[in-house]
Amino acid sequence: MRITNNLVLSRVLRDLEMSRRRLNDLQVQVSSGKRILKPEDDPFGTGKALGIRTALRVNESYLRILEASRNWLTVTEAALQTIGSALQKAYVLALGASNDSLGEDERVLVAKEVEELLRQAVSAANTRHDNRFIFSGYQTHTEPFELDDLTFDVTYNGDGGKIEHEIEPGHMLVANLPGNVEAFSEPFNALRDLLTDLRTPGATGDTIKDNITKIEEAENALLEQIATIGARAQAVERIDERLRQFDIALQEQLSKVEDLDMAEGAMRLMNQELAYQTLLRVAATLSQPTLIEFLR
Amino acid sequence: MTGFLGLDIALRSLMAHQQAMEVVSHNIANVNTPGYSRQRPVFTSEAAYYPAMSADAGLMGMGVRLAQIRRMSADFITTQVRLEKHSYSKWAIIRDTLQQIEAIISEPSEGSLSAVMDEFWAAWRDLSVDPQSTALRANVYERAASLASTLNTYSEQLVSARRSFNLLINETVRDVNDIVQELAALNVQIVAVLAVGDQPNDLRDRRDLLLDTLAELVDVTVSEEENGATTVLLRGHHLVMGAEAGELATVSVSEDPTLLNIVFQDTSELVRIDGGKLAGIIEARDSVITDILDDLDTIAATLVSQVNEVHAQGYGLDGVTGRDFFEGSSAADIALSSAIADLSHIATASADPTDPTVGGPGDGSNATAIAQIADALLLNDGRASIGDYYRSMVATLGLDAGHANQMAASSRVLVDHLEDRREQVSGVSLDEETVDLIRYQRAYQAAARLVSVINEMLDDLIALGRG
Repeated sequence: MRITNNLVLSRVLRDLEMSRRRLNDLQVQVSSGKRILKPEDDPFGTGKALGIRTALRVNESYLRILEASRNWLTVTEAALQTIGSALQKAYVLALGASNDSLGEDERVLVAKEVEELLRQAVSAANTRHDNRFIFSGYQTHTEPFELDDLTFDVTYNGDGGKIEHEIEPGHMLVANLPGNVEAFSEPFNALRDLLTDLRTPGATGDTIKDNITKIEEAENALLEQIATIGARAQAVERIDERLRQFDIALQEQLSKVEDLDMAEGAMRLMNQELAYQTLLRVAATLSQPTLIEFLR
Repeated sequence: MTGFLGLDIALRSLMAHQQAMEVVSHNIANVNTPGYSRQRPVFTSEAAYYPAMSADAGLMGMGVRLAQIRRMSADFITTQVRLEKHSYSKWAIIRDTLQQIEAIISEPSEGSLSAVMDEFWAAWRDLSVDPQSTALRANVYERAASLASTLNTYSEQLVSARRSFNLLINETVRDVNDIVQELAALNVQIVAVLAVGDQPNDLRDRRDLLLDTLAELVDVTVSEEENGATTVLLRGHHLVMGAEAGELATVSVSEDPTLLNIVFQDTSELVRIDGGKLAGIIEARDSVITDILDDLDTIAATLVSQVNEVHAQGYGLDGVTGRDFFEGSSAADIALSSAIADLSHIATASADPTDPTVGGPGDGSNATAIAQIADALLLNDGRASIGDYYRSMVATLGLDAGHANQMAASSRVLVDHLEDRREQVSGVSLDEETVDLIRYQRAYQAAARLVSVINEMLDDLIALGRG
């Protein structure tokens, strides 16, 4: 096999170029910390990585929704608790007033207090969260409960719209409580009736006792609703926890697919640098003397 | 008579060896000339004759003659080199194009289409929870605008890459034509030299170099005629025949006048090119880039039609239904519809929110429905969501790029190997030339010595006559 000058040189050049290219690729990998710099580096890995990144973003999105749901449910529960405590105070007052020995003037005073409690309850029912009435169903701009100053009737002006939050794929959570339920009508009616009866001249203890029963029933209806809201809030926390765990798992997966094992990468880079330098040294010796230099 | 014959022989040796040394110095001078094939002086002994004086001694040799300066070329390897160059040049262009597309798509990264699409769907979900929020509406609008403009940009860059191939086509066709013209001229020269019995070594080198370059551009077939001229065929059509050159030309593609096709200039017939740079360009332009563009267009069209369908079923805050969200039908022209320039027109509700008997402003269910399009299996006959389809496109791009890279690399290795083998035959080795130089120099010196010895002998002879 003849060896010509050009043969030797072109081979050396080719090897140098290949070595340099490998060196460059490794340098980029190490400095970016990523194994996959373009789809070509690992087509299936890229597909997986993209899928995981999307899943991470989707997860984040659901966590945001859960936050919103949590807020709704918290505000709802607080408002219901307020109505509940108004009912409890009314209960105590009613007990006191069920005594026939109470005089007309005292009854009027109690009535005034009950009226105040009714107003508080209605006010709680008209709570706003983020500029929206939470108990109006879809009519979030419309004040749900209107108290008539003469009859103390409470009219509901909202609708039955259920505001659903998608808290995980395909899972809808009703985040609101429309006001057209017994949890509102019973407390308001009970308070109104108590008030009215207290103001009716000649009301007996028995009438008041009826009111007490109504108040008890109203409290039950309210408690039932509070429990439902409570259960929803728990579901939210459970799913929130699950999604957070999922996030961690996804991050790990992504790292496995995309990230360079830095120790391995650094070592390969060092090896390639050494190989390249050795190649350079060898190349230098190839500018050999030719026969000509040895003659004469 | 012997003396003068001896002189004659010595003289012939001097001349032959001097010419040989010229050949050596030609080789040495051209050690770095691309395409140069080393030349070797071929000596033969001069025809013998019967000397009058000592016929029974037999034939008397007449010295040496430089019969031929042989060009050391490996023609069979050259054919293989050119074949492999057809393949390499084509794959190199395809590989480069795919890598360019990878750079345009730039996955995996955070600013790419994948991220932008995910943010778009998430924005709808965020809006569903508070449909009256102007900030959230603005967010949906912005994310949608981002999505549309990302698709627009990708499309634009790909289309522009496709058009830029025109420049390359023109350039390459011009190169082909230049080479073809020069080949025809060389044919004339080479045939003329051969006709008088000489060896047109350097002309052949030039011709071979041109043919090698041509092989990188188009997959031509080369054959040599009896008279030494080369015939170059492309799909059976003559590009070079003897002194005639047939050129290539470009014409606009009828379906898309911004693109060029290649034809034979004399017949205006379309040329099918299977190898070389031109083949790579055409495949890169017409399949590689077009396939990705088609996929992006499918994604854009599906986005537009699906989102619009669900959006039109919903109601804006003003109670109006039937509005489009997007307009356009491809990645190039997808944009936000003017119908939603007023943010309150974005249809978040499933029933008229201005009519309290059917709905209200708190209803964000249509926004949820739009967010759910992300998971709908709309493509590949109901097997893939838009995201799946895109991810599959990217993975396939990676596979194709990897494949093209490998094909180009292995083709390159083969070309290099074959060129090395050719170099082994026709390359100049300085050491070899040096040794030859010494050899011829010594022979020259010997011949010169011979002249001097014969001169002395003649002196003696003449001296005899002087007595």
